[in-house]
Amino acid sequence: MTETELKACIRGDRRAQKAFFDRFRGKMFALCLRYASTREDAEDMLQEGFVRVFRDLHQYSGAGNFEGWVRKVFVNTALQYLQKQRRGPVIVELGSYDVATDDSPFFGEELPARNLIKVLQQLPTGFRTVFNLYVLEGYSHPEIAEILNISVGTSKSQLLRAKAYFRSLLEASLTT
Amino acid sequence: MEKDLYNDRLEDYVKKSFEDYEEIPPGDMWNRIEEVLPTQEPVRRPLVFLYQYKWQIAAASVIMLLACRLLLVQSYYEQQLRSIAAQNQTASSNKQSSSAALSVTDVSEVREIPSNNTISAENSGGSSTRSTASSVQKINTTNNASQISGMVADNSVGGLAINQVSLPQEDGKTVQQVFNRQVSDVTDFSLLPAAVPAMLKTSNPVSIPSAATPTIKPVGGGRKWYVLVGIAPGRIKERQRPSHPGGHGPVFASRSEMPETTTSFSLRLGRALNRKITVESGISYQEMKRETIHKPRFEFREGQMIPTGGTHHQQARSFQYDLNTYGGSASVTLRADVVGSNIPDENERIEAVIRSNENVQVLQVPLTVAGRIGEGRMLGVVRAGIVGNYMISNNFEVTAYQLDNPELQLQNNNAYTVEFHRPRRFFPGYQIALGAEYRVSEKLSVAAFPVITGDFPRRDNFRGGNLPGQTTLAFTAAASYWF
Repeated sequence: MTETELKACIRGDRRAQKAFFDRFRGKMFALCLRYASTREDAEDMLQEGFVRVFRDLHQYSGAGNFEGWVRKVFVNTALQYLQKQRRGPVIVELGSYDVATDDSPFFGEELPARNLIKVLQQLPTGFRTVFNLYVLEGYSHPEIAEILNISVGTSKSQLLRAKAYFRSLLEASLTT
Repeated sequence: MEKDLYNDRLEDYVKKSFEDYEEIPPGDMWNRIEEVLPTQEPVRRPLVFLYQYKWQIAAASVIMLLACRLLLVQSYYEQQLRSIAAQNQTASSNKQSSSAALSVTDVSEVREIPSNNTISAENSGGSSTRSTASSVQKINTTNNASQISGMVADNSVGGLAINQVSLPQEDGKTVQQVFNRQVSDVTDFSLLPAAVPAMLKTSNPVSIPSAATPTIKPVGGGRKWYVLVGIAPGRIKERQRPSHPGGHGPVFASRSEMPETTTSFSLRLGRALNRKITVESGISYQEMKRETIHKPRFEFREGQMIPTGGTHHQQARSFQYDLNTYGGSASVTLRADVVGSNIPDENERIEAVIRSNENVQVLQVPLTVAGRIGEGRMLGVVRAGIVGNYMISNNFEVTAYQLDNPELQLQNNNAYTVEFHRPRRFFPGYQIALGAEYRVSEKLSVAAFPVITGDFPRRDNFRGGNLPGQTTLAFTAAASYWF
């Protein structure tokens, strides 16, 4: 995005905002789908995320990767959405789910990303959130702990369980 | 894949799978986003901006055209007066000259040229002009004496300037033919003997005695001071505030305004620095009225929980909406209770309607310079200067409000509150006007001119950013008394 295009978006120029939307809609919708448990929730996240991006665009200082900044806004939007939706922290109690172990059988087939998202959406919200933040967004455990207002230990254990559960769901989907 | 999983490389596998993965959202997504985006800041398009003032511009144009028409008519009659005065002067001198010429030359032929003939010539300034010889002219020629005498033209309007020309003539007949041709149509002077154009260029223009000029004094008749009284009905255009971060209220809100009217009364004292420039200052009282309908759209979670002390403390919430007022802003808080046992979902949308009236009184102290263009009774006037605005009062009231969610009901006794934020009462502005002034008499003149009055941007200390500026386009009718 050029500076002129950004200024036009900040100014409220609809054509510039539409161009901005067209540019980021695919990636950001994929991101929202990963955090949401349903496609409808992802659409709501996407809508709210773009509104927030346009609202806060003037706060972008120009330092760092712009797409990274946009992604961060969408991640925050998704987290707030989940938090509001649940009226509480996104973390689930450990042991609530029957997760698979690391030595579960694997059937060696690949899944397209679209199907992988469906598997991801079957994860409990807490697992999915930590998994997304750590594996796909690259946050560290202390950062995740701060973002979700949990302890570092909880973050680590959530990730461990999330990965195991994800794997079991993945294998289950491959068998069907 | 198998290797990835068994080597605990699930992370890499997932990362690769999602790398550059895009999913296209539903086709109506942009419309949904656009619907909730803040009101678009108007793009500055001069023509579009002017369109909203189409009636004022049309009225101003008609008045300007009429003023120009009056100016032209007046100029024409002034010219006629000057011409008549010059002809009177010329006739008397011509009479004397003709007598003298006849006495010294051998007159073989005297021809009278009708007064509506036109002579084209290059005047002493070198530019091509047309001169109407409105008086009877006489060209006296003689073959033997080789003289031309008595050709006199009026130069009062920049035309031919020849006084009592007597030329040495080699072939009088030829000259006679040339002049006949010249006065019968527009000709070039190249057919004349070489000496004639030279004479035309170097001859002295006829000067019109100042005593013959009609007495038309400039506006004010040379008086230095004047008092101007004016009234200016107009309309206000508010420059919209750009979206601001960290503010209260909903993400989305629409706003529609009724036609905003303003009326200004002016009393000014002016002083002429010279015939063209005057400086004026005084005091104006401006009253503005504005009715606005705000339609903020909240989500239920944006409502702050109102602690009620009971078990249902989460079932009462307040929704805050910030709106602009003249010279500041106001926060309107709507308080609602949940009706029944169904609590709205946190992301449930809640439409609100807030209707407000604003009545503002402003005192203005302008300091303007007025320049006058033209002469005579009708003048073009340009005014420009700075204006100090002092807001005397701003009566803002919420006249209607509602929430459209059936699960919510506005509290009976405490439905809303309004909190004002007024950074300051004084703010500077500018004023530009262009119009016409007509002198009724030496002491009285009337003026009509469209005037644009605007505020300079000023900081909103409460929410940051700049407060929306006001631009007023008014049509001023004024009268000046010179003393």
